[in-house]
Amino acid sequence: MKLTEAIEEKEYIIKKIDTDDEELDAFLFSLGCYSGEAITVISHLKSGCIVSIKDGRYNIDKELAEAIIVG
Amino acid sequence: MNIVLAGNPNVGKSTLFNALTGLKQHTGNWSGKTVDSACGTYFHNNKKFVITDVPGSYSLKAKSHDEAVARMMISSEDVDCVVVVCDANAIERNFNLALQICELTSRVIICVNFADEAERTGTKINIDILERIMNVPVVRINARKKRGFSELFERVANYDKASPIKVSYGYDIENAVRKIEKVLNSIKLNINLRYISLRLLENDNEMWEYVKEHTENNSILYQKLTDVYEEVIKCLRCKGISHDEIRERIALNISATACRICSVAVSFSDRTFSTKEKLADKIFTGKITGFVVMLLLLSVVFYITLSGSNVISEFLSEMLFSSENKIALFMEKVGLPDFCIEMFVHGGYRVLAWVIAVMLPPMAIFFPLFTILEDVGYLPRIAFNLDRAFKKCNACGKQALTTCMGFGCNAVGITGSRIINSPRERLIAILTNSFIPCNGRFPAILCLITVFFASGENRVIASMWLLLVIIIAVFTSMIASYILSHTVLKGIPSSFALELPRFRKPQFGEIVVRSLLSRTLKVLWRAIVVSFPAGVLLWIVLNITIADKTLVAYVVNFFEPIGKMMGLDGTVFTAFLLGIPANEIVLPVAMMLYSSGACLIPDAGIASVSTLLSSNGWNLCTAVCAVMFFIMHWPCATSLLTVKKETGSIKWTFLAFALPTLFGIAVCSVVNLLFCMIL
Repeated sequence: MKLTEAIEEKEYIIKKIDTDDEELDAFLFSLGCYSGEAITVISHLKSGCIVSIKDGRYNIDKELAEAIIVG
Repeated sequence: MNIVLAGNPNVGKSTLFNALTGLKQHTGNWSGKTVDSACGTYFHNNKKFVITDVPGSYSLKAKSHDEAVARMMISSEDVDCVVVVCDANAIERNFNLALQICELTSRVIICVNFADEAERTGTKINIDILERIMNVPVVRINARKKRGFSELFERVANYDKASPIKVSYGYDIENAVRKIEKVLNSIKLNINLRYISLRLLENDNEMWEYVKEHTENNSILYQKLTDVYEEVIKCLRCKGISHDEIRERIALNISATACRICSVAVSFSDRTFSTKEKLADKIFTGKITGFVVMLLLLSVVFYITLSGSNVISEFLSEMLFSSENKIALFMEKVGLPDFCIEMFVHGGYRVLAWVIAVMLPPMAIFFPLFTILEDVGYLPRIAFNLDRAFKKCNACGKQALTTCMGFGCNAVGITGSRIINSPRERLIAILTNSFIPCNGRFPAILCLITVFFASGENRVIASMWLLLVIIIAVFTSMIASYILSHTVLKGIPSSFALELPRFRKPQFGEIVVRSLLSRTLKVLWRAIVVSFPAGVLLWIVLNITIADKTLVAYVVNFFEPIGKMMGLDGTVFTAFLLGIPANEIVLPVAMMLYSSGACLIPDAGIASVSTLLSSNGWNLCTAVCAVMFFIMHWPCATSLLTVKKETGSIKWTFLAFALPTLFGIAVCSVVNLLFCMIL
């Protein structure tokens, strides 16, 4: 499912980054956001969500959140 | 020795830089604060170190401006040592970059910043193990508290060539790298060959360009390289490894190595964020609470600014204007001619005194308060709150950050727009930045509000009005962004991710005092170089008469129609024109122009403004229009020059001039019309 549907405060494993935008993919990668990594949604918001990946917290917008497929 | 400070964004590179060099690079608790590299010197045991501060980046892919800059700086031959600053709180991600840098150069020292802070939250880093694994010097520092510097420089000074840990990418890729490296060996290149080979394998365009440049007079060699490359790629493809797969394997191996290093050298007792921080973020970025908190914080800031600046302002004007006569008397004693005294005292000195007494205090209070918010880490949260609004305008959410910087100085906001990667969105941010009232215009608006909207001592009402004005300013900048993105800069907004930094206690002693001093000195300097000559010039123009009318009268008369149309008059319009070098002088110049006509001499602070303005026909409508025009008019010369520098185009610079001007004329005219209809 998409990250936008994830339950808050629950740890998920990233299945895949679903995007054609290579740059975006590379950027997410450098943050540690790629398949196999754990991700937790701290809170959902209308415009996106706040996630915690490894030791960092980021706010990502809706499009990005929709590109992250978790399981 | 030449040293470069590199690392992820917001790990404290600039703080370290300032602590070492004594320079005043602006620092803030958010990613992307530094957009330009800075240079400074540091002496340790009588040895000179030249230190360069590089904008932070998450990787060295050279996809965006900051990454390209970082890569170029690190790989430069002149650099004797690269100090990689890592944030102990996010050590694994930081090591990702550290490993990439180790690949690019072997002259690396790793600095672990905030190690003590991380220990408190349960992250223990074993420096000795880390040093053994990485095979480069690792030093614990705390840049804010200036700890660990002597050890760092001991290590830098005695730096011996090391061979840092190499990430291995598996048999297939390593094999390919070796083959390419062999060919590269016969080309004279300044970058690590393994690094080049890896980037070529990833089909990195910039690296191909680089190799091409260095083989210009040897096309056979280049041909040989491309042949080997084709062969290697074909070989990999046979095994089912495509370009994308290569890229992924390289990236995965780096982060896997970083992960492995951390699992050995770092122990976490608690990896989750404290509930306190989580709760804080829920409030600060909540749908409704986020906005409530934002408005509340702003009104508090405005309230403090208003109350504080009144006191200082009164004191300063008392002091400065009372010494006016003394200076005149002194000059008379020295024996200067009358017109000279008049020119310097009633011209130059008076405008100077005005700028210092009325314009300086609000800036001196507002800016440090703003710095506190920035230092705590509140700015990225504002960006998040406003993201949706900016998205609706088809602009980048990061524009909220440049908007915030615009409150300090529009030129800084314009330069800061470099954090926006998309060129289209960057241009929007640059062109609309001057809608935000900067420190030069803010006090003038504040002054008008205290005179016309909040009579007496009611500062709560005054700060509410000020808040409204600021909201209008931000809102118009959004409307302008919307118009731009639907006409000349069409496109869809790109998505972005912004790191939410940890909340940190602001460094009251360090940053706040520094921002107060540097701001105050900067304004004082501007006051001297701009307002004093402007005052002298103005006095001259006011006293030269052609056919019974002063020179200025002609100008004022010329602009009278357009001024009247906008609910103002020719005098104010002229003052705005004269304020192009620095917006601080607009109000003082207007005062002077008025006083020369009505023979009223403004020799006291805000109190005299009220009488002077109303005796010259100002009413509520004039005040509203003037405030609007303060928000929306041509940017100051510094801003325009910065736009020219950032965009490199006269066309965009012209648009940056025309856009707010047209907005201002239109809005003021409408407001004037509305007032005429009602009254």
